[in-house]
Amino acid sequence: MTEEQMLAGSIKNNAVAQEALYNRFSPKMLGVCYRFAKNREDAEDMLQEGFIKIFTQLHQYRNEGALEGWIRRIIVHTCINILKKNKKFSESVDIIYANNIHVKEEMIPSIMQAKQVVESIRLLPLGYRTVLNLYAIEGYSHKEIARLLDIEESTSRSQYTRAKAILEELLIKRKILLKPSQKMNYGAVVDSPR
Amino acid sequence: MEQHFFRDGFENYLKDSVENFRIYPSGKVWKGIYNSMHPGRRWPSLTVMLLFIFSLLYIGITHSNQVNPNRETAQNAQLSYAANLTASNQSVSSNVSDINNHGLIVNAVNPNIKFLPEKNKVSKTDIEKSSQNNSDKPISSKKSKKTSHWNKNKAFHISTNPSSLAGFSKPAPDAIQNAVQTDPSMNESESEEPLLSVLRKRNDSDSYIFTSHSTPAIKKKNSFVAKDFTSPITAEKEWIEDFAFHNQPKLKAWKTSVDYEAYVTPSIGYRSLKTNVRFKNASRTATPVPLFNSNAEDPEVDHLPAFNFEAGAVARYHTSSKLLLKFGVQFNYTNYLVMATKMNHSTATSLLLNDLNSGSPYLVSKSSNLSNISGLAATSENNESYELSIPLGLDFRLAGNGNLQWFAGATIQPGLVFGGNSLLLSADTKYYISDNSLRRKWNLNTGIESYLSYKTPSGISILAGPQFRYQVFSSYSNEYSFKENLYNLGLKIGVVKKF
Repeated sequence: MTEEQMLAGSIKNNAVAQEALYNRFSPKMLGVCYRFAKNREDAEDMLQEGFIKIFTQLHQYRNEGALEGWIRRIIVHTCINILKKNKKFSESVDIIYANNIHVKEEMIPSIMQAKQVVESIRLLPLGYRTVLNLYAIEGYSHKEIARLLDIEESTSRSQYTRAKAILEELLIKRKILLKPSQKMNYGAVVDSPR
Repeated sequence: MEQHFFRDGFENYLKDSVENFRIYPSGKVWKGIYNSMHPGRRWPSLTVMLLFIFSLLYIGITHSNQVNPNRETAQNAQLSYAANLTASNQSVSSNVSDINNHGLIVNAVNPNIKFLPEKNKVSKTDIEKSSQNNSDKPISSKKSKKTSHWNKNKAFHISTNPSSLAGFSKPAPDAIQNAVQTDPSMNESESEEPLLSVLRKRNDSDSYIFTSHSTPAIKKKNSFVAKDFTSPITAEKEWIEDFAFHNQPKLKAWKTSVDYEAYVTPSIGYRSLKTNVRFKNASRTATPVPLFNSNAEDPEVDHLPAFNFEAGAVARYHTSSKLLLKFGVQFNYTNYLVMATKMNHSTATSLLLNDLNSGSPYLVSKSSNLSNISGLAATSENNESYELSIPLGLDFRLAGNGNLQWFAGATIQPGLVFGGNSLLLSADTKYYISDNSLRRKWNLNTGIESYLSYKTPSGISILAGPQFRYQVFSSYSNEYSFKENLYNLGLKIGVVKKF
């Protein structure tokens, strides 16, 4: 089934087309949710809610840009909305406490390379992780992040700076990344991700 | 400059690293989406549930209808009686049924009626004679057959009619003579026996005891006081009420062949754990997963048997003296010990799963604080589950026919698994992951057992014997890289009681 057929069928609430669309994008979108969520179960809840929104708002998609990008944006917004319902989340994105964070080396995952990075991101405190996800991976600006998370732009910047520092430390400790002083760039990753 | 390069590249590196990161969602996500998008089309489980409820209702209604023949019988008896009243000015209609189980009811409306004396025994020959002579015979004859249609072999009808006297015992000058119609299906030997010998007059001059002489036991049981009714209307009403109340042959017959059993089985439970065959096949063709040794038949784990139990109740239907069928509900608690080491922090690991559509293995990230290899503190965790099942089976009597009997039996037990704690092995078998999502919801057990049953003087039977139960399907879905089948060996203890 082509993407156009899936789109047209899904807009008409055709279950077969919707399932095809879901099967096409759900694994990648669950990967996105997983980076934001506390655990896999929460990630699946986010994915479910996100896809329901996608199917109900699909008629608004104007074929401007890739469908995947549009879907991804809805999924990310869904993740943020779900996270924002949690009171602790608001506190964690608004308070800077990076100096108190100490991540043990053995907490770094030791499985597949592609997942090592994701799991390292998931070891970050919730606020840091969210800002890092939005800025570094999803490509949102600090201004957009501030609006999305109801925080100051400066808070977003400082959260990101600290999140990045911790994550770099984690990746270097685990030799997923080499130190900048060794004049190596990111091509020196031990194994390329799958 | 170098630092700047580092900073610029960091975001790109992260983005590239996670761009192709995928996790395959479980089936329940799509089900949830589907149900939200198509609320009119629920999943088949809803249909099955409705079907089940309607089946229960249907069985309930059907069952309640089975009791109705008594009412019908009573109504027919009333008709019969009314017809008799019409045919003869004052007549007696006596319906007698179900000799084995019930008292006989005699309705003596007219005090002038004289019953056959004890010495006047009624034989089949007499009955046939009577039938021949009774060409003008009463409507009651026809009706009475209808009345006793539910027990043709045993029931017979006594009717007194002035026109049916010929060929019988000596007629009393001022009384209605008796006619006895019996079912033609009655066999010869039975017919030669005195069916009814007497209505013994008691001290009370207006009451009679009607006795059947079929067997001594029955004789004792079937004594019944015949009331004397002075008012025909009251008599009619009371007779019908009595008849309806006392004649429940179907229910009695059902009760004699069904009893119920309540039991509990403490047992020792363990499991067989093997590599999922699907992974063996997949590993040759699909993307190899280096951490998973698909050639290992049994992963290197330290598990131990543990205490289990089951409890339940079944209804048992005796199809013959040797065979009985049973059906009921049962609760199972299954459990075995996982010897592991506890870590003081969570470690990221992964589960190796099989994509059932493509047949390709893939990894799902999980965290664990239980290690299968050396760690800080040794611990034992319970891999446990609960199950509600419906045992269906049969028991065969091997020996004994008195109070002590020896049975062997087998059951199948489809059941719903819920709750508990599933400890799954990680892809590299180094960690245990606590996750119930892969547990198979519906499963099937088979059981074999042998037991001794001792009937106590109070009528309750006590039974005890060994039992073995085996879980047919793996505890987990086919996605999981291992197959686990549980089994139990226990001692069944129970009681059996008649309804």
